[in-house]
Amino acid sequence: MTDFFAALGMPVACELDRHQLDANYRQRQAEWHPDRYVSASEAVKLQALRHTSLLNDAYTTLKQPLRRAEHLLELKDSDAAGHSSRKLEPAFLLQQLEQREQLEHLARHRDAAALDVLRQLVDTQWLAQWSEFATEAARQDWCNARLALQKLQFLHKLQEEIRHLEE
Amino acid sequence: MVLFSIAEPGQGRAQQVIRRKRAVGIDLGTTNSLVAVAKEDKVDVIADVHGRRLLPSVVHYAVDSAPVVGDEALNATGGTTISSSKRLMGRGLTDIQYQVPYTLKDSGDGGMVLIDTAAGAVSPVQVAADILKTLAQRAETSLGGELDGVVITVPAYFDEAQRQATRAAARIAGVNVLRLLSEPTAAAVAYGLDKQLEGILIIYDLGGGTFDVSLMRLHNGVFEVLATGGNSALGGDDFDRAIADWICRQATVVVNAAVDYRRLLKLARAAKHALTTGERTPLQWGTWSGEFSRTQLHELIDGYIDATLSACRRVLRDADIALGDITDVVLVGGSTRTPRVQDKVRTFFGREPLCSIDPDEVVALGAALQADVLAGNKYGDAALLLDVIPLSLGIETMGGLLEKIIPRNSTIPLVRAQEFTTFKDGQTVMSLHVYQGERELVSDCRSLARFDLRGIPPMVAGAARVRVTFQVDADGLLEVQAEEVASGVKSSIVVKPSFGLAEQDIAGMIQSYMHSAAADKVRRSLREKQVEAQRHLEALRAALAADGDSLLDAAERQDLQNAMQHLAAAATGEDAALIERLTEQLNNQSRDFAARRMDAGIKAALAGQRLDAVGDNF
Repeated sequence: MTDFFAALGMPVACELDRHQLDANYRQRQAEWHPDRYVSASEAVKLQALRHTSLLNDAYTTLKQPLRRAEHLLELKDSDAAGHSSRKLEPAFLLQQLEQREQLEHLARHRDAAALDVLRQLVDTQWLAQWSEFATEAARQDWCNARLALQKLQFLHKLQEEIRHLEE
Repeated sequence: MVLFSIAEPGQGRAQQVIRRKRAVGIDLGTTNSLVAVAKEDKVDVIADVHGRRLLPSVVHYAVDSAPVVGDEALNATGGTTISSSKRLMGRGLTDIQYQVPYTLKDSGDGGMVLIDTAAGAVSPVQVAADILKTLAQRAETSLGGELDGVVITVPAYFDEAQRQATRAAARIAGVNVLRLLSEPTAAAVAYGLDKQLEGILIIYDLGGGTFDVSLMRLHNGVFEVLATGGNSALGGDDFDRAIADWICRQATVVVNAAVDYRRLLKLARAAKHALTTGERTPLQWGTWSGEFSRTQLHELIDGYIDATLSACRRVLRDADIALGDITDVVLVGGSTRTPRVQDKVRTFFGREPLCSIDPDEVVALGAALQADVLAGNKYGDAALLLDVIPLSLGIETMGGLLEKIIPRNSTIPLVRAQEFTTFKDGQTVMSLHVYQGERELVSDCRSLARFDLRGIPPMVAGAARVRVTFQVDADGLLEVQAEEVASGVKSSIVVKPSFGLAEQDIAGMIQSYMHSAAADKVRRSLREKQVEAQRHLEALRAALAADGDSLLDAAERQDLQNAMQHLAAAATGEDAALIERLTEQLNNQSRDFAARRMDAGIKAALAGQRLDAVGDNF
């Protein structure tokens, strides 16, 4: 597993300084981009291509909170498969079910105002869940962090669907 | 590279002086083309010996004489004059859904169209090559020697077939292509370097027939394309047609003859130009005469402008950038001279758009700057361009679905791998079909290439692990490799799409994708159910062949086979609910058989040694 944090010179953490990330990415691209090696040997060109491709992958992953969180767990929670994955609590699943039904209802009635309210609600839930993930990750409680991440994934999916509907 | 060794008197040490490479930027436009060069401290368009900067993209072909290009072609008589042939690049006869003032022919092999001329059939690639040759000669005369390389600009929305056609034209013209560069990106490079801009830039490029929009971040000489979008069938020509149709309605006439309609379009265009300064203009067509006002013009064209603004919105969303984050708006393309376009862009983005560099020249200037970098004339402090792929790339999976491996607007270069598996027991060949597009079904996307991975060791369905790797280099060229991980069997292909495979225009594809996402979902769900049903049937058939005789009696077997037949029949139909129900039913019905097989398996395993002995006897 390639450490994308290391590739971009960032500390392995769930919160990161976006300006630092952007600057590090640009600086490494400026150094490694194949356009810098137009008259180099094929081997060097290939090396440049591989490395900038890795930088692009790392940057895309780290700049999106959910994918960054997933990557963080992949790195830290190496024995994740060993843990029996805990089930999400029924209350959360029930809430997801209700919000999903609500979304379908709004989609049928094209109720933009109500959709906006729902979006704000889900965004708030996301933020709360994100800070829970951050706390668990800081405490290195990977089992709880994994649980929080699962919820984030649910909420992300819902956010995507709301966004799609808003278009 | 040419190296001189100069021994300076009294210095005693040889010093190497490297000749500056002759590298130019070429804007190969639909209406006009031009060439520009970057010198030590400035970048400028190269004029011909008569001082003309623009070269009309027009070529005249006549019997027994060399093709004539540009202004001279416009005035030439006695042969065939070809204009706007850029729209035919990489297109098959079935793609051309509009009228052209010359006769088109099928090339016979389903490839790109041919244009009938006095000098025989000519391909659009040939026409582009003739224009490129003229521009290259102009540059060589001015720079005093053969060109080392060129950067040619293409619309951001050019797909692979159109890009390859452009590369082919350069090959024919004998020029070395350093890079194909998107037109809006080139414009951003020109503005970014000239005005020392920093921040987030949106480039709004409205030409005669196409609309391109790109969102870029400029920081410390790094130009990062964040997202690109547009519509390859929307432009200033639509304004003219709308005005022409309005005149017809007012005059209550129907204009059918092509020659009359062209005359009407000319009138419409003149009226549009008159309204850039005036409030109203008189119009006359046949016996009808009337007046055309700005209000009327706005009513006719607002819909088109709004369509360009939704494309802008989409690009912002793709890049996750808010309207307020934009620091500058750049206008490119002749149609941005229309005041209404400028007004609406200003209102939408809430800021005064930049148009200080000539919109006809800005693209060539940016291309020249990039050519200078790619030729190796600049080191260290040179601007770096991080480009994206405009359309998603993926492969076809079961049921004709597109599995996207690289989503659109991914920064290149990029290497990305994904694993796939076999569908049938003992499958030794996997067919890989590479597509480009945004839709869920491959039938709605553009086919780029196909190849087979052979020699996969026979395994049960789902056991083989085939890793498919997509590699897009800094030039945007795609290479696809497939490898069966366990055995190391490999196969690969460099994607060079055949010309004219296009069923639809790319931007059209994106648009229809936006409109039909819901319908696609339904179709996708149906395909998934069909695939699921086939998988069950396949597994059950294999199980029956292995253990059907020993574990089932005749009646049980007959029941199971009946249920399988029902499902197989339903799976060829379109009723998703029925397929789901029958799959479920078959599942229930075969549960007992599955349990017996498991028992038999456990018994065999418990028997230990004897299992191996039995195995040897098979």
